[in-house]
Amino acid sequence: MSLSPRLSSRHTQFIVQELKNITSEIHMVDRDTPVEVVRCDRSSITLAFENISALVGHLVSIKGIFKFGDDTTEAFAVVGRITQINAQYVEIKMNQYDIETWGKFIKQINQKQQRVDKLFKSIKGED
Amino acid sequence: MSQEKDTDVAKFLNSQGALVVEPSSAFFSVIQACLVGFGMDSKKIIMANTYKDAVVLLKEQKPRILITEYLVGKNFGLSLIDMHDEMYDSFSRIGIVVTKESSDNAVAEAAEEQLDAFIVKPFSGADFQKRFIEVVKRKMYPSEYLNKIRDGKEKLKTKLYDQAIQFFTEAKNLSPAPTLAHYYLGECYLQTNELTKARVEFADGRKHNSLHYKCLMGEFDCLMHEKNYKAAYGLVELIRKHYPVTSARLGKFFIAAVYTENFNDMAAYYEMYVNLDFRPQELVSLVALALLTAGRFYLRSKDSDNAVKNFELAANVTGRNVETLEKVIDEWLKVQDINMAERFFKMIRGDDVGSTKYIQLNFKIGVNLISADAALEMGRKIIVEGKSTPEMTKKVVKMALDAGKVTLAESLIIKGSQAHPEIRKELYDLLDRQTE
Repeated sequence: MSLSPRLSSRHTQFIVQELKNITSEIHMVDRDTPVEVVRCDRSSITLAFENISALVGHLVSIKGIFKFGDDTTEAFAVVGRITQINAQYVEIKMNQYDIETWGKFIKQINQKQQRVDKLFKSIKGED
Repeated sequence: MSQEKDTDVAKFLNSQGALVVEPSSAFFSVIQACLVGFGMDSKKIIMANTYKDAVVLLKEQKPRILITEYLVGKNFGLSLIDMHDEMYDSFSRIGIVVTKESSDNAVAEAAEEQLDAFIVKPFSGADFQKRFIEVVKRKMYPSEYLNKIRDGKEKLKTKLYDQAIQFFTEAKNLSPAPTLAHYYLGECYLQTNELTKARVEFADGRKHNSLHYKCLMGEFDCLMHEKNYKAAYGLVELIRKHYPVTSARLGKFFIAAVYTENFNDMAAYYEMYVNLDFRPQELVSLVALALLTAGRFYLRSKDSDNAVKNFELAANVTGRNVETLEKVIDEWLKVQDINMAERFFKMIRGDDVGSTKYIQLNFKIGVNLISADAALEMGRKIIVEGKSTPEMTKKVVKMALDAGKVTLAESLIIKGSQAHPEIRKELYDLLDRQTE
């Protein structure tokens, strides 16, 4: 078994350029702000936004850029509804979004995890 | 997951308690939400966002589930996994790394520890659940084979080798490919210094999986113990080709390269060393020593370019430590290459300039470049200031005697004997020989 070629271990960054609460019509972010993606599911995204003024059920619009580990960038826009919010993060169920870019992001994360699993298992063995 | 199994998992988790070591509050909240989603009571989940707090909570609360970032501030979460492993046997504890770090070296370092899973951030909820529940179920319902292995490991941990061997031998019959049973039997024999038996077990393990990492490393360790460095070095090539190298292993690779005089590979190992996330002090010292040896080898082979290259790397590894530079300077002085000695002398860090060692090295080199009178005066000052070494003291006394300055020599002997009483007789012998 050979583990080459190695995948990039560099992180993908998400730069939020605009975050607007459509329900309350409040602009919460209007300049480039790097935001950590905490959790990513098929059609929902959890972002590490602290203390934003919004409530569960509010409709939000986000415009930003993904900077992938291989130095490529992709614009990403989403309109979605807040499903969870607390002082540390906000979870958004995405209704309208660029499926291709989101797919690329999810694929990169899955590939990274698969590669880690393969390496981890090969070194660790069955236990 | 069936309802019944769901309840079992929740019961299991609530009987444990979890510590999440996570510098980011957002990640902690999400991990906590996942655990609560599996049926765990949120009161059973505690958080530490610094390494110091984590150590305290681990010791005081003794949680059986530990989820940690790979890097917690400047510390490694893996050392918390080590502490956790000392508290509980592998049956009753869960150790998981959830991290942004996904380099090969980080994964390899983690896989060599008693870790159950390595999850990369950001993660999907479904994926986190799948991995976490898999680990929990392995703990709750281990196969008969794994149970034997774990029983054996516990005995091995407490050095009850006969009992451990019994468990691992029984385990061999419980799996069609009992690689791990062979590995741990090999480990028992290695620890009891039965190297031939150990090597047989590691080789048998590799019959089921020729590139089994633990068996390969076991065989390598055996060959190193047997001082069969050539064969060990053969395995290094195989391991390097297929696996990233961890800090613990790299040191051994350097040793094998030195013993087999494969000094051409030093640059490649140095690159691996530089790429490591984690460089323990013992590894730093070992790598510096290996590079110094390589430099000496090239110097003996009259290959100055490679000697310089390896000496420079040795100096870099130790952060241009003055003791390392002294060793390099001594080598150049031995072959009378004063220019090279000076070149490395100039590498001494600004904060070491003017130190006793600096003054001594300045004399060692300067004595070759300045007049005998000037060198004698330089040496005299150093002895008077009490900064000379025994060797230097003898040299300066001899210089004074050679120059016919007996009175000066006598005064230097008195001063030198006060600083180094162990050479008092030798110094007076020098004087006696001169005046006879």
